[in-house]
Amino acid sequence: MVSEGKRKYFIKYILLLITLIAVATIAACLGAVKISLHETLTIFLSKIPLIKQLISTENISSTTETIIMSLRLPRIFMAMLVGAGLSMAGVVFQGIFKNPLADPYILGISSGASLGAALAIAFGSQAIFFGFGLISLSAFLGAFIVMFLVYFIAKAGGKLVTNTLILSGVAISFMSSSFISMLIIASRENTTRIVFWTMGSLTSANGTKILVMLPIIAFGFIFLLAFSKDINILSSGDETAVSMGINVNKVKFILLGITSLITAISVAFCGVIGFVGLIIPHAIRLLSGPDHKHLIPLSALSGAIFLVICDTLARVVMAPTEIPIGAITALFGAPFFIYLLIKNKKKVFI
Amino acid sequence: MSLIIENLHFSYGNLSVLNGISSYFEDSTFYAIIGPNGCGKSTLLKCLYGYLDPSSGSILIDDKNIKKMTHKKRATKVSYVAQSNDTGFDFSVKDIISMGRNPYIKRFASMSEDDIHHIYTAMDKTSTLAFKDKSINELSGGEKQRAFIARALAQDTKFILLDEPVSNLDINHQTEIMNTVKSLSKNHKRTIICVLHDLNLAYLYADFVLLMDNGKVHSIGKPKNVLTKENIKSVYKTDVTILEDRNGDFKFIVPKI
Ligand SMILES: Nc1ncnc2c1ncn2[C@@H]1O[C@H](COP(=O)(O)OP(=O)(O)OP(=O)(O)O)[C@@H](O)[C@H]1O
Ligand SMILES: [Mg+2]
Repeated sequence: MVSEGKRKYFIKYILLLITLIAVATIAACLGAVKISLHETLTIFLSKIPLIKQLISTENISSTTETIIMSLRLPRIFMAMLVGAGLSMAGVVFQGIFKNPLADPYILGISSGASLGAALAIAFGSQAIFFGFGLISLSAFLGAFIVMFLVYFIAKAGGKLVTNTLILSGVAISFMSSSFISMLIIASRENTTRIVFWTMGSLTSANGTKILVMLPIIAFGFIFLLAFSKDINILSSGDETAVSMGINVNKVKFILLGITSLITAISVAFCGVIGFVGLIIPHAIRLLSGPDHKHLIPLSALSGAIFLVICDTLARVVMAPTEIPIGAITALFGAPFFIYLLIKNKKKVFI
Repeated sequence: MSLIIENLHFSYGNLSVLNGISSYFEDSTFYAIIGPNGCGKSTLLKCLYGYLDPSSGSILIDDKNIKKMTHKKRATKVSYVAQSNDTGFDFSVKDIISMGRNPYIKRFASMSEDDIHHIYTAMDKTSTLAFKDKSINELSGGEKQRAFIARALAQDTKFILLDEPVSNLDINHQTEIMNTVKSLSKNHKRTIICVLHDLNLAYLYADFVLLMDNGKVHSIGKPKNVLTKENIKSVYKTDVTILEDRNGDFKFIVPKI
């Protein structure tokens, strides 16, 4: 029984990994310049140690290689990291809050980041620090300020009450949105840029950003996984969780800290990419059960796949015009999710 | 092992609920806590396993203050079945019961043979084996309650706190659960502290009855000494008749209507 269950999960992981690699490869071929699968694979393989001796890159132009290696691959990696990060943050937020509408943005982190970005855009600095634009830094700062505000409002009564947390997140969100509206009115010439930023985009992906995100997502993943049993038990309510030896306040604090950091860095770099952190966790819960030990890694993998697909669509569907990725995630994600809901008819939440 | 409560006070904001409770819980004994709605029974239990932090007074297990124990350590000594239980996600009954082993399992580690043994023993004792693979959300109220009791049993603690564990159960399962719990105290050296509303169940099963009134201990002792007409009248403001059989072993408490 046990080993059969383990094999079932093992197969799921393998299938998802293969899908991820296949999707990434196809995504690298598509774009304004079409590159053949053969060329793409040749370039990929020529970067892998040991195998590279066997590969000849003679008949591949350097432009093709540049397009793949410096333009498309960073975007694909960034999509994977952001997709995985937002999905696992979503799983954990839903697990802690036991609320089907919970997503990584529920605490207002995205609105804080948007306000930060909008301020930077409106006051028009193009300054670059350590390879990041001022916009990213300002967005990250905004996300963090909101995180602490929301946390301290909710903590004011002594105990960390999750409903207060959600509601103070909503209140701060609305407040930030009002500020953003005022900024948009006040600096009309930047309206388009602000609006586009808030819809999310992976255009600005680059090596430095990936190097910053990778460790955050990787360590975040390990930490969240380490707490997967605790999240399972938290679903029986704080009262019961304490009786089973969970230090509820500490665990929630750690989990919220990690997920908020993942969310903040994703939004700061790529804007507000909605929907992925909401539906991927639900879809995986429907398809493979409530155990967070598997829910977290399966969601991370699926989120990565989903966002690579969405970003590729954003690039190619109306090429050379790019569609904001936030529009794509909802447009293609919603019908798929509705299909799953109807097909499974099972209650995800009670 | 012993559990000692000394002069416990607790209040929710301005509402003081426990007003100086002291008591001593002996080994291998079944205690029933009774008292009117809102007198603080559930609050007392929540203090006993460390969920609520009393404003003054102390709770000692083996002379050690439970405040000084880690959460996991405490959970190896005291388990708890709540008055009403949340079931969030669609976990199977077996998953739910397995959660009781949490205090014994390290992060990243999986369950040992010993853990699995405890889980199956607990399912056997509560007759939950039959529906172990069903989702917890697809059970009847009584079946759910048995699963939660099984989870507490799997936790394998010296002290087991139960808050109205049989209120949802039919007479058969009520008796089954009460017998199981009773045998834990009699044959397996567990101390049971069980909130009950049914005075007759308290009479039948408890070794000692702790009668609470307004956040205080009104009286504590053998059921026949605590469950008297006078005490019931003074705490519940209800007149009762106590029917006795000839040799006085068996009593039945009925309200006068
Ligand atoms: N979380 C809470 N916040 C504020 N007051 C509370 C809270 N929980 C309980 N109370 C109040 O504390 C008092 C004692 O509640 P408690 O739940 O301990 O009673 P009880 O003896 O278990 O009652 P019942 O028999 O109805 O279960 C009640 O007056 C109740 O209104
Ligand atoms: Mg109660």
